[in-house]
Amino acid sequence: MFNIGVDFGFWERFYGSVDYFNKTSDGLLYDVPLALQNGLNSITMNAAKTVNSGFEIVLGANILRSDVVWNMDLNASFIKDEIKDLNGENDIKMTDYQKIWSVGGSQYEFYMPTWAGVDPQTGDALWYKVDDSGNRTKTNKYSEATYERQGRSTPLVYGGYTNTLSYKNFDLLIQLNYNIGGKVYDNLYANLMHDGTTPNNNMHVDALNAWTTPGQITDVPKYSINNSTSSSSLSTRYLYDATNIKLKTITLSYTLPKNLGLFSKVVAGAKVWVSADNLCTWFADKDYKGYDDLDIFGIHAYKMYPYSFPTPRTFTIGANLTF
Amino acid sequence: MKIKYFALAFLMLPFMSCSDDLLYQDPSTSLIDENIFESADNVNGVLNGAYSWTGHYYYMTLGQISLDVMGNDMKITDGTYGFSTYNWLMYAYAYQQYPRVVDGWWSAYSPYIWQTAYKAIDQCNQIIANEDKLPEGCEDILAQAYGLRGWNFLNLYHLFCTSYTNTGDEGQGLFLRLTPGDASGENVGRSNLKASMQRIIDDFTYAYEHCTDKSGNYFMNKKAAALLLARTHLDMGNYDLALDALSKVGSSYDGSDLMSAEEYQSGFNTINDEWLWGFNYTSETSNIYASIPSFYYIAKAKDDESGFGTPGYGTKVENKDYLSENAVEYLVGYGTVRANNSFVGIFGNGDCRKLFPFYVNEKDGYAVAKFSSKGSLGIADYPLCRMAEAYLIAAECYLMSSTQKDEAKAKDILNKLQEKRNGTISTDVTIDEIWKERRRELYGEGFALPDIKRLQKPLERTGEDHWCSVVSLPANSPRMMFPIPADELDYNKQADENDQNEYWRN
Repeated sequence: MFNIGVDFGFWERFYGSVDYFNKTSDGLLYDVPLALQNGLNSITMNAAKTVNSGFEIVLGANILRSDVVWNMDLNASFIKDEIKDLNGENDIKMTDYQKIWSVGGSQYEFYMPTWAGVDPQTGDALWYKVDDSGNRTKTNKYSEATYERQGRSTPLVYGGYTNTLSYKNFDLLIQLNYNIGGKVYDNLYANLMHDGTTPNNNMHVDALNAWTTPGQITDVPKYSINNSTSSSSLSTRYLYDATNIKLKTITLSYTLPKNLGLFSKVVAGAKVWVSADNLCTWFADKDYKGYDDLDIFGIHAYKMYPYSFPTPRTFTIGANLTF
Repeated sequence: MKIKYFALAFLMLPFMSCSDDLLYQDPSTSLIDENIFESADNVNGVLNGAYSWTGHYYYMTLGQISLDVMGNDMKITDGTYGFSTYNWLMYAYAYQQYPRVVDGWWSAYSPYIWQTAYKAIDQCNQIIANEDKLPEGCEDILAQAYGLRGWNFLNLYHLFCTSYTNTGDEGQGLFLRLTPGDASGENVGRSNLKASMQRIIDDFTYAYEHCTDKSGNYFMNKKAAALLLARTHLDMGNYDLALDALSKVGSSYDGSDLMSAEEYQSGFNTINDEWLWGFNYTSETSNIYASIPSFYYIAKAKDDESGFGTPGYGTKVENKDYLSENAVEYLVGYGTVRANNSFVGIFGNGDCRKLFPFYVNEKDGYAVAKFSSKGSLGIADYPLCRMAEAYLIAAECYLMSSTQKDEAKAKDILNKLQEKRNGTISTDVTIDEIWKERRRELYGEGFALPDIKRLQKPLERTGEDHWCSVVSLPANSPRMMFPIPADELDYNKQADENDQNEYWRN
């Protein structure tokens, strides 16, 4: 682990820090895949090596320090991971996470066929097929579609932006969290847009856009009961840019004055507040309809994570009394 | 004072560590390599593991039912007539399979089938590869291990290979793993069919020659090994060798070693004298919902008045609710396998094997009552080879052999089976007539697809009740099998993309 950083501050108004780290982890527990003829699909060994490196930056400012106090804080983390060794193997397909692990690459690299829309004449789903010389053509056979690297599930940069404002007895806190870059696979939506593969399952209202007539331009393939074209199978059809900004918390509090007569004789201090958490999230990708609690693998409701729940939006009213 | 010591002890905690002696590293519920060979009982435990994997629902249920529903006669309901498939087996029926799971486990049954088959083979290999370390009294156990491995290889041949009758010695065969699994990466590549079939023949031959038949017909035994050897030779079109193997089975071909019509109808869930080998599902060894009867059986008859032989047998029921209120011996898990209408039509009316008690919709096909549970769902015996097959193999061999050809004998043997089943008596014996009889006799026992491939017939699914888009395939179609799982080819340095089955090769 290598870590170097600098803290700074000037004019008693601005402050911050910059840190760089580089951490090598060797002998990581890793499920080394085996040919299935061994009767096992993997064996766990201390066999993987990765490097995580990145910058962490904090910038802050005491903008106002008079009657109105306004403080602002911005932090940003740029973290990159790189696989160094996989027990001598390479390009391991991590089916349960829809990732590919390659030496020199990220362990969060999505790997799946690339969606090429819907054929307006037939209503068939289309994917890209890439031949040996790199020519890209479209195919309506899922088995011919080419698996491609589709980018990481982890963001390029993430962090928070906090503002605190005070005026007399009022305090206001606004906290925003942001993620820039990264992908998310929305399997919840995929399950609802099954095109008839699982006819007993619920459907999303977007299924009404399914292709019906030659010439129709739509991004939803034709519907058929027990659809066996794999049109709803894993592809970038359900992969989205995960860039987002989230209004994480707003808290407004009021500290009661200490000259409230009889009340102040019983209660030494009192503070009341209202607070809202997870108010809303804006995604850069307007087509994304999934939940906003993204995890590091970016696979909602897929395989290893069959159950996803939305983060609740909570409103709190509170009082803190000191006797 | 006391508190001081206490605090001291607490502070010392980080400096203490657990000694290796305190950690039991051997599992308490399974055998480890070192003690496997301590006693014949332990070796038998390994063998039982092989049986257990062989009967596992990832393999036996998926594999055996797929071999039937990938043929012409049986199908999986499309799920819209009251019996949801939950995507079990329907994509085998629909010929929609990938080398790896692409979305939903049902998109690739083959990794489940393959890995479980090799778990069974691995346990057999643990015994066979350590032949010289076996303690006293393991002769029969070793012979069973050979026979069971042979069955698994033969089954993998049916599921994953082109037919020997089509591609001959040079066709793509099996991955003949003969040593226990390990992490060394020493894997075997794909053999050709010549080596593969020879391995199967050798395994069954060893079992035949060395089984002492101590264990009974729930386990591999002499006669079963001989019949399976005949099955293998028939698969290769070696009629004389098949007849030779049949002579070791020792059927009288007079019908006396076949079960009665009543036994055939009693639900096909209890082993009887005609079964040479059957799998015994108990509450411990069976996943009840994923058992074979769970997928086949719904009820014996739709109501009290509509039993076998009555006009109401094989007629329509209005809906599933009618069944839950009125059906006889109603015991349904999934209940999703159906017999195609045209298949039901090839049975004579009195034929005791015509166990298709009702249908819910004309387009859905008939419910099948052949395989039922013994009172509790999934508790049943399932046949892996029966004497009736010996009759069918013999008839075919006497018809087809160039050196022992005897059409009269072929006809006589076939007729004996037909008489016993109150079936339609063939007057003219042809290969198609025998095939038809095989379909009547053996449906649901994993022969439909292997027979189509062996006889080089096209897939011809007729009737509106076949809902999937694959209604026909030419003879010897490269689709009549599963893909080799990608996880075998990716991590096996002795194999590459060319070892994939043709249809799935990029």
